[in-house]
Amino acid sequence: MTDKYELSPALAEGLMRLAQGEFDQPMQRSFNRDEADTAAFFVNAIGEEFQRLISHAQEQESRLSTALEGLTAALVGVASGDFSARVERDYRGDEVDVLAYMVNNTVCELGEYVAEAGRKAEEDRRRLEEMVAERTEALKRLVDTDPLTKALNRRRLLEIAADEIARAERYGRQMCVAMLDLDHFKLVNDTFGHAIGDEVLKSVVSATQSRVRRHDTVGRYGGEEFLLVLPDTELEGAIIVAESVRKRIAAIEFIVDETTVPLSVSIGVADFRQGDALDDVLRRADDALYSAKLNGRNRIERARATSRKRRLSVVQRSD
Amino acid sequence: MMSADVSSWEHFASTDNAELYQVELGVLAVVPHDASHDTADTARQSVEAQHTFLRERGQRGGTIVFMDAVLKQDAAARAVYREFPDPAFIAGFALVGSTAFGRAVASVFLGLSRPPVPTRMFSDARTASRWLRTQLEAQ
Repeated sequence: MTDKYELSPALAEGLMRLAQGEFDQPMQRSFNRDEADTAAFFVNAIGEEFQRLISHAQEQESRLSTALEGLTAALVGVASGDFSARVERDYRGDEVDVLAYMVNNTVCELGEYVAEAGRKAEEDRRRLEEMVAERTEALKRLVDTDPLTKALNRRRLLEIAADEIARAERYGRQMCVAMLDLDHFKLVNDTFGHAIGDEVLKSVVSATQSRVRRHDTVGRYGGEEFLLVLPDTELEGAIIVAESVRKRIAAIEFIVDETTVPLSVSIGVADFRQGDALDDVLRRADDALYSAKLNGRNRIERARATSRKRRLSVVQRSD
Repeated sequence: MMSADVSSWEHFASTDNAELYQVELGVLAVVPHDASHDTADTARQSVEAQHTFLRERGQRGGTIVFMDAVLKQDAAARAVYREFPDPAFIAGFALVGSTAFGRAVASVFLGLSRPPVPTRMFSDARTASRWLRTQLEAQ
């Protein structure tokens, strides 16, 4: 005879409701802890736990969905260079919260890294620009400078002179030029050698620069010839500057092997007159210089009212 | 229904629905009042009393819980047993049930509502106590 177990209708009903997910209708209990009451307790307990687990799963699904939305938004932000995006945390300390925390930390660190890289790149760019500017400036100085005396070279000197003349012309200002020439320089070279001659030239430039004003320009015009460009200066003022330079150079004690090398310069000073071109001013200064040489050297002559036209003849003799 | 012989045990706490004892060093016991109702409140009282006892003595312990006398147990009480026991102090729960009802109450803790410490069901206190000692030695 086989044992036959009969499921009570109440228990069957309770189990069906359990299977159908109807957890809000617990089985009635007698509380006498007999077989039927035990079954009812058990079914009710299982229903309560199933409901908790399902609710928890639904809640986790919702949290995960929210976290994923936040994560997507954060990653989209990062992709577009926005490192301020953050995933909202609920601080439960579980895997979902840890994920949010890690994403936020990583985005923050990434933002810092990118900002630092940007700062470094900017710093590098700035340093490169500075270096380029320095090198450009150095190159410019090289291009503009006479390699021996470090004064401006002729090209740059005449550029500046032309600019000052244009300014004087436009604004009705005064300006002068003074042309210097070392006296007996050929003799110095022939007597003491070119190396000494070079040192003499450097000394003359140094002495001249010590006597001119900040806005004046000193340049090497030719071999032993120098030009001073004196903006905003009338003729008498230019004479004073020229005289100061002459005296300073004359005071140099240039000694070679216990022999004193006498130094002096002749200077021709010319002022700009309205309508003058650069050549006009230079010619008058040159004429004045010539006069200074003729009149004994180591002196200053001012330009005449008009420049003396010199005659140039070229004679080709037969061999 | 099994009733525990507590005569040689050291009583250390009472809750609204149970008495707590130290059976031997490292083994505690929770003996619910007959036909007791286990709520979130009584569950919290029980867990906190065990933590306090063990913390004050600087020791870890396992707890025998007699299930037969429980008449009602709320889902909120099970939530407390699932969340609050501290593995730093409690090495395990040994649930003793000698009746079908007692075993039904215990069985929920073995699957659907597991505590955060090792939990097993036994039919007598001696076997339960032996298991708890192995848990203490192993951890």
